[in-house]
Parts: sequence; structure tokens; C-alpha cells
Amino acid sequence: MDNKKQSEIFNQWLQQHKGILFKIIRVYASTEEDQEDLFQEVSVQLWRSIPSFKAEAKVSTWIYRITLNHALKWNKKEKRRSDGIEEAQEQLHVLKQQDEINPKLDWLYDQISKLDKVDRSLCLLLFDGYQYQEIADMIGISENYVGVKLNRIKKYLTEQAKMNFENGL
Amino acid sequence: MDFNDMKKIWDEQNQQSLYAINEEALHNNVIKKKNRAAFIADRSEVFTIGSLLISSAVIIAAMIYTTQLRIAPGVLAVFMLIMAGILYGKRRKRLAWQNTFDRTIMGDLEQAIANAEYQVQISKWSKYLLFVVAVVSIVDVYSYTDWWKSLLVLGFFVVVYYLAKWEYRTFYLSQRNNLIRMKEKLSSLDR
Repeated sequence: MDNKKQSEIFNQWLQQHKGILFKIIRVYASTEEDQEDLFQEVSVQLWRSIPSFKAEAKVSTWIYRITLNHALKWNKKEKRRSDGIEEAQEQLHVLKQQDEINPKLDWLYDQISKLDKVDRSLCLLLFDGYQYQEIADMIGISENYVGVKLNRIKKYLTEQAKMNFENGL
Repeated sequence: MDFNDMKKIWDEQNQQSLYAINEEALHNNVIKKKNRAAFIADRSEVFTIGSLLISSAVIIAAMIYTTQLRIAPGVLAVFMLIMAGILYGKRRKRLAWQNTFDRTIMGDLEQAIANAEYQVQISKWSKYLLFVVAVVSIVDVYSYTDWWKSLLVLGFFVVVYYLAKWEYRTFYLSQRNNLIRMKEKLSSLDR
């Protein structure tokens, strides 16, 4: 596949599915710098993955698979910044979070961010309507285990919601 | 709020984007990258032209001082003077097109890419230049001194070649590719 074709596909994917990337960076990176860093890294991974994409998979599933796998391995920028301050100065700051986001959605993201790394992936995929079997394939754990984990996550989120919103938050 | 309510809140976000592009910060960053690319190209030209002029002046001065007119060093000195002249011409052309880009984010990014691409070409060109200088130097050393000295000279040029290759990949090529990737990303986010 030549570079031009690869770039065209990449631009098309990003245009149609950037929401997936935004959701992932929101739950895996907390500071603006980290979000920017993770966004750039998953974009690069996605671009590299294009030649291996097989048309039998849905593009959104593929994007989830690639970006989640990378997000799970990704380490916060702070850990690597000890190499020098130049890296931090090179940040683009392309992304800024929208101000008018529903506070309940913001709260939901905060709760998901508090889960462990794998649970965050499971939660994102569940909210985006993926079946247990699809989630199991993407994350690489058994379907039963996905079910057990998601039940725990649902219970946890419901308890947190009850606690927070009953207290008037 | 039960899990179904959370799902509804989650689904609502698909109607809006979580993030927007911070244009001012982005533009400042692009300007910084543009200035950096122009600075690298400028210093690279000045250094290369300076090295060529000084090297040819030293060769010519040595021939005048020793009153020995040798063909290989003479040809090399003239060759390096011509190359310095060609590079000076390229530099003038580059400086002339610096102000032809518009002052938007994309315009500045195009200028940064153009300077980075120019630097990549200059770096490639310098490798060919190094090859010619190496061949003439080795032939000259081989003709006038012991054979092992020409091997030392060859070793020196091999090391310089690999250093130049490393510099080309690490700085110039990666700078250009990063800028191109950034442009692609911005183009797609802009839609």
C-alpha cells in the first residue's frame, strides 16, 4: 500500500471515528499533556495498522482494538519526562476539552478513569454497545470473565452514582 | 441514576465532540516548528558553504606555499568552490520563497515542511559531495604516500559517512516526517 492511499484511509477513519479516540484518551490520560501525548501515539499506531486491516472486521472495532491495546500499554508522560524537559516543551496542545460537556457525563468519565486499566476498556466497550464475545476477543480474556467483570463494574458505577447524586452532586 | 441512565448520558455524547482544537496554542507551536526548521536549514547552509570555502582555501594556500601544482587537490579545490557557489544559489532561492506562504496555521506548517524537505535534500546532496571529496582525497594520498595512509583516510570517510547518515535519519528525515504527519492529522481534524 502506498503512502498516499494509507494517508487517505487514515484521514477518513479519523474523520469518522475520532470520537473513539477522544473517549479513550479521556479515560486513560488525565492531564492535557498526557491526553495530547496519548492522542498522538494512538494516531500513529492507527496509521501504522492500516496495511494490516482486513475488510471483514468493522472499522470501528478495528480502531477500538488498536487504540485500546496501545492505551493499555501506554505510560504516563511524567514517567518518561525525566529524560529531559525538552520533551514537555514539544507538546502541541492541539486538543482542549469542550467546556459545555454534560456534568453527569464528566462525572461518568471520572468514575471510569478510577477503574483499573483493563476495566476501563471493558467499560468503554460496554457503553459503546459491544457484545461480551466481541469484548472478550478484543481484550483477550474469556467471555465469562468479561461477564463477571462487567457485572462488578455496573454494580460499582451504580453505587457511586447513588452515593454522589443522592448527596446532591 | 441506574446503569441505563448512564448509558443514555453516554450515548448523548455522540452528538457532540469531547475536544476542540486549541487554535492559538496550535498556531504558536507551528510557528515554533517553522522557525526551528528555517534555523536548521540556515545553519546547515552556512556551515556547509563555510567548510567548502575554508577547505578549498587551505588546499590552494598549501599549493601556493609549497609551489607544487598537483592535479587531484587542485581539482578538488575548484570542485568545492563550485559546490559552495551552487549551495549559495540554492540558499538565495530558498530565502526568496520564505515569504510566499500565507500566515495561517496551514501556511506556516507548509513553510515548515518546505524548509524541512529542503534540509533533507541538502543532506542527501552533502552525502554525494562527501563521496567525491573522499574519492579524490584517497586517490591523492595513495599516489603520493604509503598505501596504509590511504586506508586511514578511507576509514575516516567511512566514519564521517555513517555519522552523516545517522544525522540525516535522526534529525532531518524525522523532522520532515513528523511535520507531514502533523499536517495530515490537522487536515483530518479540521473537517
